[in-house]
Amino acid sequence: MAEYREIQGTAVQSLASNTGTIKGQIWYDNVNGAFKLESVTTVEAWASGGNRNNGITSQPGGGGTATDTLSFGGAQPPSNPAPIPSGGSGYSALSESYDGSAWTVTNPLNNGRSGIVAFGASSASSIAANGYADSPGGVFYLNSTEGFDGSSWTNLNNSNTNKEGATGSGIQNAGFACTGAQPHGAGNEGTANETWDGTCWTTANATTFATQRAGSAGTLGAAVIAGGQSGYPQSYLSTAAEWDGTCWSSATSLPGTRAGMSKTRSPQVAAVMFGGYAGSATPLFRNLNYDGAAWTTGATMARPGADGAGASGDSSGLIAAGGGNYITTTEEYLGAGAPVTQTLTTT
Amino acid sequence: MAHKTYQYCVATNWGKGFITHNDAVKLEFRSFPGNVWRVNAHNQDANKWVAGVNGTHKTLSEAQAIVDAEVTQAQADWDALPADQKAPTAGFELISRPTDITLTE
Repeated sequence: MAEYREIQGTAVQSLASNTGTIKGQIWYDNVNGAFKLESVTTVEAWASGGNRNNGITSQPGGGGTATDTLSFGGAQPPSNPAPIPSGGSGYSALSESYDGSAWTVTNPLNNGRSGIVAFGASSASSIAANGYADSPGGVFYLNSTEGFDGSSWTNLNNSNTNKEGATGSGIQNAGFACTGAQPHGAGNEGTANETWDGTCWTTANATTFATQRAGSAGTLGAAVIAGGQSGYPQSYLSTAAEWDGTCWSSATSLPGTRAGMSKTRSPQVAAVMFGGYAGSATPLFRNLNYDGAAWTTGATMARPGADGAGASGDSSGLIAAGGGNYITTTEEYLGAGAPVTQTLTTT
Repeated sequence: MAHKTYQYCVATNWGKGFITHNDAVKLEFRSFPGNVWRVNAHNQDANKWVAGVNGTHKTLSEAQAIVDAEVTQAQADWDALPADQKAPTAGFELISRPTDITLTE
């Protein structure tokens, strides 16, 4: 049989990774001994990612992309707080970075917390704001802010409003944090909204509805928030709103109620929200997609509900890490048309 | 005999590559406690996937027993938590008691 070089006139490149390759290119993976094809996905789907080093749940914050991200805070197993630094009673200061294949433990948050608002463009530039911490004196809803520089967390200026279970998105020097329980507890949801410029928080226009545990997607300049819960006993919400960087306006409601969905930098008009712990927009293991006008039900995750999973990513892909009963597994989301490396096989 | 929609196996999720994007496009995966996995039955791609991850096939009752044992332990762990971590007025961060899971074929 003729070799590729005899047909094509040249051998394919022998590479250690797909760095620098282009769509349609065939190359030889000299690490794994296989021929690879750079292609694009035709439909959205969730695949397995690397396993975290530590089990986590209660929506740890996430900042970055699907292949370069940081996950921090959340809740770790109460039965095993040591030697992992913790904010107390199972609330976690854990921080791990992800390179698209493997997780690495980094220096921990200064203040363990869950119910975080998280911003970040990469694993080396993340912000953790607000959240929920436990202490011997009781439960606190936080206004503290911390920034990660790739090495350690540094305390930054506090937000104007104490809140936990808030939602928001952005990058290290441009983000927003809104709604949430103000103070902590069912029935205390609010509409407060603040923007972050990398140094200070500024009070901005309030959201169009009060909620906590809402999902969000977008950036400081264009975002959508949806769902969550309000009242006590709590009722779950389908309400959605769009943010243009200055004002909020009503958006098409979710196809049902859902609380606890992801908070990522998925674009406002190509938004993907996933996970959640309650509501009628079931099954909870399928993501919900928003195109700026309507919501549709998307792909299926392997986990039963993705409740409490940490989320991060942007238009190039998303990840769900941890969740449930302190699991370590990661799932990676690729939408239709996303770049993907395929292994060529013979049958 | 009723036609089975799903089959079960036990396999350890090693992380990246355990379920690829192509796998996920072709098959419906569901994970359960105890490394129990549910995939499509009567499906060559599913059978290849089970073999590829060194999965051990389980009958419905075998898989159910594994899941039950894991859930029972998780429920016992939750029951042993301090009361303030199970208060009904507290927020979502307080982990809810794991619920029983019933597998189906």
